[in-house]
Amino acid sequence: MAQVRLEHVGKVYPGNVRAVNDFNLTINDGEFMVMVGPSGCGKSTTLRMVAGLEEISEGTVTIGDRVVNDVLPKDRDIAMVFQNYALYPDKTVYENMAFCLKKRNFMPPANNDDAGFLGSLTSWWKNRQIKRAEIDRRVREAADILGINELLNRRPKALSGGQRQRVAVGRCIVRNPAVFLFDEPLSNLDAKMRVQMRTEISRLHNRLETTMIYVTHDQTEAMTMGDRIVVMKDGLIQQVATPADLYDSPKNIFVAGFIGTPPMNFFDARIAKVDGKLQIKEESFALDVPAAWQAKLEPYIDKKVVFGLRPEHVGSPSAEGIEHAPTIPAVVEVIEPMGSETYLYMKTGATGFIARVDPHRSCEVGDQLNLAVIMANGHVFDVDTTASII
Amino acid sequence: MKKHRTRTSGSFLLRHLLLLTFLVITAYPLLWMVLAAFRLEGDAQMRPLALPTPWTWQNFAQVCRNGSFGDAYLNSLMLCSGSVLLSIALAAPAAFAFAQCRFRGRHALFMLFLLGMMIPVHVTLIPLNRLLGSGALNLKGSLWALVGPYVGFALPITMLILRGAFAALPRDLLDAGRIDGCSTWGIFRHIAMPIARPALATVVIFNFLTMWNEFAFALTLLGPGQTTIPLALSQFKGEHDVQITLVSAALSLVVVPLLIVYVFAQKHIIRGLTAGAVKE
Ligand SMILES: Nc1ncnc2c1ncn2[C@@H]1O[C@H](COP(=O)(O)OP(=O)(O)OP(=O)(O)O)[C@@H](O)[C@H]1O
Ligand SMILES: [Mg+2]
Repeated sequence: MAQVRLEHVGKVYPGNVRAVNDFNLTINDGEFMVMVGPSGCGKSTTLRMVAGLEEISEGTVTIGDRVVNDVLPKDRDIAMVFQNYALYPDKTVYENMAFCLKKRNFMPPANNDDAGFLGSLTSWWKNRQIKRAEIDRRVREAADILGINELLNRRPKALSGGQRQRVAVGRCIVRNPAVFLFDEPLSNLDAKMRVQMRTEISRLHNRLETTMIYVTHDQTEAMTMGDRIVVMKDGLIQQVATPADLYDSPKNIFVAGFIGTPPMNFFDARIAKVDGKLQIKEESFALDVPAAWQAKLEPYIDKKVVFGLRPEHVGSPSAEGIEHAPTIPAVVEVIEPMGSETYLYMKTGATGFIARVDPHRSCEVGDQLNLAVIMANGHVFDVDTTASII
Repeated sequence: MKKHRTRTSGSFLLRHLLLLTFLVITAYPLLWMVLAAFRLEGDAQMRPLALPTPWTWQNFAQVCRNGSFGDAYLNSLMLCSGSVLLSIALAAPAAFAFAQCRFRGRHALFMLFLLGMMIPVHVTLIPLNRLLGSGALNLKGSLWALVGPYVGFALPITMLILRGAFAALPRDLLDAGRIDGCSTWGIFRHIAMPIARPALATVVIFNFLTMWNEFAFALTLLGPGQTTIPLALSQFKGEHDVQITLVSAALSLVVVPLLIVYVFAQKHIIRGLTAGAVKE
């Protein structure tokens, strides 16, 4: 159990490659923190610095109340699951899980009451037996939790991907570490297995209540598993927030576009003042701005902005139900029925966007529709800073 | 479907025909040698291609009665297995360091090791002779004189092969070892060595074979009383003729340890031993 604190952490690889920049984050005790971002944004590097596998170029990493910059990985009280499982191929599942326990003194030394060579020999033997029994107990307990009891005598070669990843998780559980680190543990599994393991890891977190740091580039994993999410890009933190906050109030265009499937629609627009009221004007449509936005958009009159709108906020049943809702006129280009919903790939002027509509709404490719917009759920971004205005 | 099947069986046939040809080319001399070992002298000269008539153990008996052949056999066994073990004990840690540890001058140093492969063995005969015969070492004449050259000349190729194997270890596996509490030595000992078994088997076979057959060093560095197999074999050569049947019997005995080493080592050459460690 421990809090993990990263302060002004930076990483510069040889050759002046800057992978992580001024990273500040406090992960609370027992929190499930997900780091997400596109490939090469420095997620793994950050995690490896916490693990001690990568030297920390700048700043400090604190685990519990100990600065661990100069502490060896094995002494940091962490355990890590790798994307490639990283099981020892020559060892059985049992040996894989027991290996880290064999390598350390996790038991308090039994008192050595009767001295002498024979005495120390017997107490050494006794300690050995106790340690063995404890290792066995822990391995079997972890195997129970993960449901891999029948696999204990197999070698990794004879396991499926999901089973291997379970063993890799088991190897961490037996350690009983203060922090679990995961580096894209599910990305080598097939889609179905990934969903199953996702819930399993979440369940494990609920059960163990250990601090976990989980790296992924899959935003679905991030949204479903994380207590909080760190969105990274180019070695910089973009936003740290709960999944709901991240979705509802993204701080900038990158986060808005990265979180959510299908992604948020963006329109290059302008703020215009018409009859004393503000409008968001695009080439082919103009939308009245809600009263609450007026003050914030006042400085942007006659300036370019980016208008962001999630697919479910245009043309959806709840949008169509609003009286006098502003609409966007657009042509249907592709229809994608998903069963519970239908995605329409629309085109307005030169701009394409996606609308999530009622699956029973009948329309055909080429239809001209006026799709209602829930303005209250729209987002407006500054063009230059890409920061969110609303 | 049918077309597909005929094509596979066609390539199957071709492949196996090639393999069969190769097998005949390699196996025939061996077979001939073993058969010759069971012939009588006259039989070998009259009808070298037929089966022995009659079969006889006489040649083997004669080879074994010859005391120096038995000594040579024992000497070679001790010398070669000892030298193979020593060469691996020395080369493996060094190869691991060259593959996984970063230190100044590692590339230059490794090149220096490889240079050893480019030195023709026979160039070193005279210097080695002087060195081992010098008062300080005074090894010349004993079996110990051969250990140094054998191990030394085995090191470059052993390091080359093992470094390749160690460099191919997945990084995550080594990292997992570090987190699990291994020192660098521990990673070498508990993770790298077991995975490198196929490469180890390869160098064991290769080095054993080279040492088992080595003639030049043995001839020049061993004393009068000492002999190894390649030397001992030459004594079956008479002044004017070669006793084919005797030499064949001796050679048949010489091949046995090679076969054993090969079978033993081959058990460990399981392809893709790393399978299951990481997802490729
Ligand atoms: N050993 C290294 N030497 C130099 N540069 C490196 C090294 N490792 C990573 N980098 C660089 O650092 C940056 C961040 O890499 P990192 O592995 O942390 O990305 P990531 O977010 O984990 O990406 P992915 O999702 O692809 O795993 C990348 O630009 C990468 O090229
Ligand atoms: Mg990564």
